[in-house]
Amino acid sequence: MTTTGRRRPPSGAVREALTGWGLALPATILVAVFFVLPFVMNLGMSFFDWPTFGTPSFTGIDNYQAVLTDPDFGRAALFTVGYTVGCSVLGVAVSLGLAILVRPKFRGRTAIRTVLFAPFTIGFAPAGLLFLAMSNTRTGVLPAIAISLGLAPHGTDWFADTGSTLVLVIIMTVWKTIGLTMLVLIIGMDSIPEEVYEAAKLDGANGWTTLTRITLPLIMKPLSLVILLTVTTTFLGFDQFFTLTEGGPNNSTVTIVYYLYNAAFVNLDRGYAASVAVVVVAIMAAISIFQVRLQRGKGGAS
Amino acid sequence: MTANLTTRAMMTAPNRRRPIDREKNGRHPVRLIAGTVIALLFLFPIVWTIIGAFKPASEANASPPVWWPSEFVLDNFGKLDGANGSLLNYVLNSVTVSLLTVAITTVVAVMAGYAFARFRFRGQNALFGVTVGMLLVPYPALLVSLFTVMVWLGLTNSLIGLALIYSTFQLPFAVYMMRNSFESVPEEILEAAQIDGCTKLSALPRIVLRLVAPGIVTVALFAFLAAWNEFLAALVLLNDDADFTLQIALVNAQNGPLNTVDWGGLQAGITVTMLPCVIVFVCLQRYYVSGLVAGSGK
Repeated sequence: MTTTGRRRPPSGAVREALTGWGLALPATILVAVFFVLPFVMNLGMSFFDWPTFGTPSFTGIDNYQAVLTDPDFGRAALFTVGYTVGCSVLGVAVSLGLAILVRPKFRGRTAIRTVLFAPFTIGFAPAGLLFLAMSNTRTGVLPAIAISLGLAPHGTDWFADTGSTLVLVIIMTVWKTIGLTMLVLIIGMDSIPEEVYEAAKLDGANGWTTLTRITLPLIMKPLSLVILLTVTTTFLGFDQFFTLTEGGPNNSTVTIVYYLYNAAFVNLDRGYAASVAVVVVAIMAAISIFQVRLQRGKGGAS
Repeated sequence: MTANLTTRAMMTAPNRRRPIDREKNGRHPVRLIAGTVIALLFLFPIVWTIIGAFKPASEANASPPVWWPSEFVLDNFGKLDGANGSLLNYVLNSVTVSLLTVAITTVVAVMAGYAFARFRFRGQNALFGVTVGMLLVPYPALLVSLFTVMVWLGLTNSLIGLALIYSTFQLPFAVYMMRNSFESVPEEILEAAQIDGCTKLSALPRIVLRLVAPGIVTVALFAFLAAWNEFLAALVLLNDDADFTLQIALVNAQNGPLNTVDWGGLQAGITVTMLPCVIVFVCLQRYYVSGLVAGSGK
């Protein structure tokens, strides 16, 4: 591209290719050693009985059969889907509401946006511990508030019940992730020309009609990005459960990645864990493909 | 797609225009009040934790909780010290891993981004495809084999090993970002540089690098936040508390002696862990937003 009009000697092309490769080499090495190699190894390991100590032995698809028939894996998968759906529905609704609220210019907007985004910069592990400190039975401020408002009886342990534990983790997740999704939606909404809204107003469209007929269809792309972001981060949830619920009560809040972690680093069964990993990758790929299809379908229909 | 919809909506809209109502811009009491209330709700957990970090032990562990401490003390910040590590160690470890990740990610991504944007060489499409395709494979799924690789390389219990992993998994975004930044540098500038005697390679440090500085800051910021906050790989790869990052030290504080939690100590640790990120973000947020626009626009 740079050399149209000027002819380069062949040695120049060779030098260009060599320089290009040289510049890309560090990235290539990192990707090869820390991504491609583990990726291929993981595929291989999944067909072996691979104890942490001792010699691996080939077992074919035994691991996969064991994973897919383990009721605990089914439970973890089901719980992960529930958590993902809960976070996505609540997250999309709240971020859409917040985006609509803080998009137009008003005094104090920057400060409010910054505060709403701030929790996103906190890691999931400290965020989980932060909510643990706030909601434990003994010293937690949230149960204390709930009790004083008459919403909960004295001595309520929110972590004793799967339902309330799940609600708590979902609230924590939405608090932590909403800043990002809100911002993506604001960026999408900002790209809608002001004239479109003006025209709608002249046509007598009310707020709801404007939202459903104009804003939503025009932000389909950022909206589907938000859903993809939420689904992928929550489907792979681990830190927040490790710190906040430790999988309890009775292992009812073990996510798929938590299950994978237990298989690999608690039960030390690497081959089995590797096959869980392959299943996770397959599910994630399916979600991504489904999402892309959905987006294409919507675009093609218009 | 979006462009199509926009034009359609604009065409179906009546062809009359009215100047935008400037009176209303900037005066939205309802938005201000509602926004402030929600912002305070979002701020509450952070403020509660910071206050908790300075409570005397008896008040930090009181039941029911004490809202405002009788005095502010620093004792809690000494409670996270382990057998071989202290809070200062953990902070230094986190800083080391994060800065190493930032350095490796930016240098590697700048080089690769320049190569992908400005050079033609065999295999570049495949290489770029694999790098960006990493986004489809979540790294927690690779942890088992990655751990095995790290054992082979002797990089467990190593902050450098951790930084190499973090950098690698930042590359899809970082390389993509840098390639776009280099592609948006006007062709004429590069040609002028070549006429002035620069090669394409020597034009990078002399001329082009300054032009893509915003992209570099964005990449560095994302790398810093990701490395500072990463938990799972650090949990698996670090076993000696002298090497712990803050994230891992916190979990150990949670599982304190005799299974009791010192809430003041925990909140002090959370405060030290979360504040740097919040501050870094508040200072550099426009770079974060520009990164998002670049990431979500495509």
